[in-house]
Amino acid sequence: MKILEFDIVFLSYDEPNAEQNYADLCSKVPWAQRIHGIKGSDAAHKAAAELAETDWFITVDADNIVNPKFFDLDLDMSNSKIKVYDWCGRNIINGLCYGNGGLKLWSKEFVQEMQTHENAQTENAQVDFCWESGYKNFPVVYSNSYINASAYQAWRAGFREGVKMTLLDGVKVPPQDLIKCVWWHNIHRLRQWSTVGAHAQNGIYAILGARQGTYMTNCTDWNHVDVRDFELLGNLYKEIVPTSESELIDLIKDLGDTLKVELGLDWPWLDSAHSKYTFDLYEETLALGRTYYNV
Amino acid sequence: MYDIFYVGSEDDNWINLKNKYPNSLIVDPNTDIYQLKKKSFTKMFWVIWNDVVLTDNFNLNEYRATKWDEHFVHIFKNTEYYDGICLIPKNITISDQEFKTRCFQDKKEINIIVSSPTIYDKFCIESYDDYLKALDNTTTEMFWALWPEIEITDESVFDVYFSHHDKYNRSENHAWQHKFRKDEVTFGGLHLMCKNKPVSKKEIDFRFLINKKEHNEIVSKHRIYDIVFISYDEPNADANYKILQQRFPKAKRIHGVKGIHQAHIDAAKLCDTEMFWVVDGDSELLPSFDFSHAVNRYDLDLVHIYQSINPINGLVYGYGGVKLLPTKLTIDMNINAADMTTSISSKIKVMKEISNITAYNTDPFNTWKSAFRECAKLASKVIDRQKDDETDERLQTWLSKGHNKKFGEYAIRGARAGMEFVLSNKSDISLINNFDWLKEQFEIHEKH
Repeated sequence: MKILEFDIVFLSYDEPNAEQNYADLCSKVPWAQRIHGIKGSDAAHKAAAELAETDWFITVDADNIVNPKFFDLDLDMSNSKIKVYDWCGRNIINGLCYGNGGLKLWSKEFVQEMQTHENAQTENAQVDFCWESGYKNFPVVYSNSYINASAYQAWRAGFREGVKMTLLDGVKVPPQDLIKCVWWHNIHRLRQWSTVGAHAQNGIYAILGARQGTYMTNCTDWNHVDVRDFELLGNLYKEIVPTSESELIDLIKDLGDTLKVELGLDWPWLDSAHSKYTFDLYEETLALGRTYYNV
Repeated sequence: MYDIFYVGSEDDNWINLKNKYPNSLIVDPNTDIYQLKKKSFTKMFWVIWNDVVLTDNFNLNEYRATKWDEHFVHIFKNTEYYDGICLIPKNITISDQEFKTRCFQDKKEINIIVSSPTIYDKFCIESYDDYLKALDNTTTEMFWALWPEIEITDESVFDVYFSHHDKYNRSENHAWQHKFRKDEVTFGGLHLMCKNKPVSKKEIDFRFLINKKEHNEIVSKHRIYDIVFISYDEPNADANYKILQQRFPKAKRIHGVKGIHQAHIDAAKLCDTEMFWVVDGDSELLPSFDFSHAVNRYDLDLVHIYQSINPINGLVYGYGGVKLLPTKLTIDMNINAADMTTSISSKIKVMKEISNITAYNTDPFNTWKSAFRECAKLASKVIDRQKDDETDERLQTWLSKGHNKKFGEYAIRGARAGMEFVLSNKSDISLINNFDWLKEQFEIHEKH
């Protein structure tokens, strides 16, 4: 099935780059529709499903710029068990390529019936989507995720991943077992979020957010389920994020020490030059891997 | 005389060839060079492709290859390129690839124009179904897609031909620049579609191909939507229509239809464009207004309302302004809603441009009636998405300004009567669209 046959819905809430990114999307596919300002991921996706006239629909997160080659895809959709297809998004701060910020193709029926985030009935669906077996990820990047248009946007993106990447199937694990229990892919992603980014605009906010998310989830009594509530996150940002850059960097370093002692996570502080070097090396390694394994 | 093979189906080109050369034979387009050689009984044979048209001044039966050229494929000029008719020696080795691509290793290019390329088929395409039909019915490997909303400004574009050797361009969809609005050029106009590269429904619906080769020549412009002048009994209607027609001779007219909704439905039925302009009978169009606005595909369900100048109280807003309406939604509108424009679509766009003066102050009754109707609407706040403060301010202006203007007193009294009517009898607002009832009301009010 050709990707172009499906409706496309742009999901925005309060992202500072949403207008610019929506205009970019419309210049590539003028029929892209938009859902804006709906509180709660579950509700926003249901509104998108409502808007879509096709049985399946594509969602584009507001921080995304889509590669037009995506619209050339012809998808084998013969497996009726699959309800969500997703493609990797490339984070422009830290170079990570995975489902976060990626493009998704949803079964409308599935979205209408799912109960996640604010409507979750089970513990593991409280902070993320719960796809179980009906989910297929393609390890191909078709969009860049620009999460750093403002300090808050970058911090929130980092914080949310700092929380989510330490969970096992959406549930907290004993802090001492974190490295053992959590899927190594997620530990790897957490490492990248928590260390790389100082070279990019607002990148240190993403690093701080990731470390604070990890710390608050695993080393304090903070209710990690609140991560789904953007209003609470806005208030939290005002409370716990310093305004000066030097204080910010000191806090990142302090959290690095704490996370090492409490959770065994060894995240060094990489200044701008080190961060850029690591970022470039990471991208180069991914590219090299693709030449070896033809991914 | 050599054998003549026509590679194609029994189309007009074949019939013409057969009439001129009764000995010619037709072969299936999939026939390969080896089969063709077997069929031939002469030492060379002509191959006439179905995408070329033979010129009249060349006689295939008179042409003889020289002795020393009998081992070369002769390829003749097809207007501009050497990709047309071939004279092929039977006893040389040619791969089928060479034959199909018309790129021969051992060839002699003959600088005689013996054919011209077949002009690509043209199809008027409004919907995806039309496009699918064009794909099925085209006799050329590429075809022109002409959307009904475009007007070709440079006919020479239809001479475009991509050589048979130019595989890239022959396999691509092409778009030319299109003058969409005054200062806006897009690629949503003329397209040359490749039969072998189908596009999706959304691409056709939005006139926007994701993958295309763009050509920077402007060859089309957006067609002006149909204009309909709607009059009932306005004393200045004939004069206003005449002025409109002088500038836009194709402007149509609906006159004397009872009921504002029905008049607009009838107007929409006169039109064959997807949007249409409505000019009210009392409108004096401003010279600067030229109906050139074109609507993006995703805005085709929008009611556009232009600003108009009120000659009595100086208000400038959508009252009496020119409207650009979606044709189909107008035909299907809810005729029971009091405000006609908002009942056509839930999406309204108020345009910044001023289109006209609403010269409703032509006589006492028409002035009174117009003010009554508008102020009843304002007072009842019946207009969707109206803002209370803005509406109240407008109502106050209607009620208080313009005493010294022509029939200004009638406008103010009509405004007051309209407002009072709503305050006393809110449930029957639809009466404001009944002109007989309005006449009675005028007579009742103005007698006192």
